[in-house]
Amino acid sequence: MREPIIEVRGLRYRHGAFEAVRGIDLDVAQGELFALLGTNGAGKTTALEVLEGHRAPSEGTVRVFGLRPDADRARIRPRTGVLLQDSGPGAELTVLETLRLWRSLTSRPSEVDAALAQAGLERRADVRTSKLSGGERRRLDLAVATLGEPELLFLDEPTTGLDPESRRRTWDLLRGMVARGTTVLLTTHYLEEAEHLAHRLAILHDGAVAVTGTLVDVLEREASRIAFVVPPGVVAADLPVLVGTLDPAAFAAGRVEIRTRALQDDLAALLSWAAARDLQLARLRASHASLAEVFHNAQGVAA
Amino acid sequence: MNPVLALSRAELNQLLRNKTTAAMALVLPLALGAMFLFATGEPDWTFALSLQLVTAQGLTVYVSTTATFAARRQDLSLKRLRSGELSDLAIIVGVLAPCLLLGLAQCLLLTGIAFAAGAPAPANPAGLVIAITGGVAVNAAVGLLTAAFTASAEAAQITTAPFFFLALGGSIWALSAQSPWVAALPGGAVTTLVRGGEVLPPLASMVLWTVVAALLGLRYAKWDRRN
Repeated sequence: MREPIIEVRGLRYRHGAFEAVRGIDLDVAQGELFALLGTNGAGKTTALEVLEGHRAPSEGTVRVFGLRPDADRARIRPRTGVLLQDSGPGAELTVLETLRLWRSLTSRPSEVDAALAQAGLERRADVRTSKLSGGERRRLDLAVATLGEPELLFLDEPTTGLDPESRRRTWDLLRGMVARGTTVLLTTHYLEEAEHLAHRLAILHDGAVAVTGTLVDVLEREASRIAFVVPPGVVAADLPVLVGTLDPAAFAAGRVEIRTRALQDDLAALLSWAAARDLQLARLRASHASLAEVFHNAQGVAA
Repeated sequence: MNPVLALSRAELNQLLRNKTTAAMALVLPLALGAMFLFATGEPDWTFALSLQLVTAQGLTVYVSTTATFAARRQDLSLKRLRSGELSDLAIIVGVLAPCLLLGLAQCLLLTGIAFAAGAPAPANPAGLVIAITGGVAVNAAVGLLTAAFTASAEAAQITTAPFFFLALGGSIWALSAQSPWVAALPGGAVTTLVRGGEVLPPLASMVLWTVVAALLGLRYAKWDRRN
C-alpha cells in the first residue's frame, strides 16, 4: 500500500449519550478513491467531519497528512478541498462572485472560468445562488471544493440531487483528478457510484465498519448465485452433488436456486450433469453477489 | 485580493442586497438620528449626539453583528468558510467588518450633521473620538458574544433586546444623573464622553466590555447550524 494520507484508529464520536461513531479503523492511501457507504444515520457524515477537523474525536486517533485535523487546520487546509453534505454558498452572491470569492480564499492557483465551465454554469454566472436549482448549487459547491485541484478531497454525498448526466460528468471529473494524484474520500448513498469510482470502500452500519475492502474483496464475502428453471421430470435428488446449497422453497416453486462460494466448480458440475442427460437449463443465470446484496446483509452483520 | 478583504466585500454585498438587513443597518439608525436631532425644537446637543451614537452603534453594529453571524451560521456559510484556509479570527473579522465600518461611517455622518446643524465644538474632541470608536468596539464584541446564544437572524430580534436597552438606559441614566457608576454601562460611557467629562473611567469601562465580550465570544463561537 502507498503512503497513507488518512489514518484512523479506534475513532469514536459521541453526541452527549448517543455514540454516532463506534470504533472506526481506516487507512486511505495517496491517490486512492475511498467510498464510505451506509444508510442515513450510519455515522458517515460524522466520521467525515471528524476527518475534516470540524469535530474533535471523543476517542481514538485521526491523522491527515500525519497531522491532527482538529488541531492543525492551518497546515492541513491549504492541501484539502471540502464539500459539505449541505453546503452554504452566500445566498445573495452570484455564481461568479462566489467563485471569485473562493479563488481569493484559497492559496492554490485556480481559474474561475475553468471552474465555471466545470460546473456547467457559464450561462448562470450572474444568477444569485439562492435562485439556482438544487443540482446547480451542488455543482457550484463541487467546483468550489475542487478549485486548484487539492491534494485531498473530502466529499459528502457529492452527487445527491444531480441528474444522471451531471452525475456522470462528476464521476469523470473525479476519475481525472484521481488519475492526476488527488486522494478522495467520499460518502454516498449510491452503490453504483462506489462500484464505478472506488478503489476501496467501507460500509458503515450503526457507527461501525461492517464491511471493508476492494470491490472484489467485498463481493467475495457473499455467495454467488446459480439459477435456472427446473427441467421437466427432475426432482431435487437428481441434481449432482454441489459445494453450494439448494433453496428448497424455490425448487418447490419450479426454480433451481443455488447459493455457492464455488461458482465455477458448481456451474461446471451442473453443465456436465445436464449434458449427460441431454437437458436444457432454461433461463440459466450465474452471477456474483451484487454490492446491493452485500450492503443489505451488512446491515444485519454489525447489528 | 487579500482574503479577509475579499470576504468583507462579499459580506457587504450580501448585507446591502438583503432588504431587511439593509433597512435595519442603514435607514433606521439615520431616521432615528434625525428624530433625535430635529424632533425636540431647540436641540439639547448632548442628548441628541449621545442617543444618535448609542442608537447607531446599537442597531448597525450590535444588532447587525448578532444577526449576521447567526444568519451565516444557519445558512452554513461559516462552516463552509471554516472548511477553507482562513483562521477563525480572520473569518470573524471578514464577516463582521462591514457592520463595523457601516456603524463607524454612520456615527461620523450623524456627528457631522449635528455639528453642521449648530452643535457646539466638543469640549473634549479626543473623548468624542473614543465615544465613537470605543462604542463601535464594545457593540461588535458584545454582538459576537450574543450571536453565540442566538439561533437565527430572527431570534436576534429578541436576544439583542437586553443589551440594546441596557446601553440605551445607560445613556439616559447618564443624561439625567451625575453618578460615577453611569460610565460602567456602555451607553453611559458614550454619553459621559460626549458630555466632555473625564475620559479615563468610560475608556476603562469600554476596554473591559470589549475585551471580556470578545474573549467570551471567541470562546463560545459556534460554527455549525443549531437544530
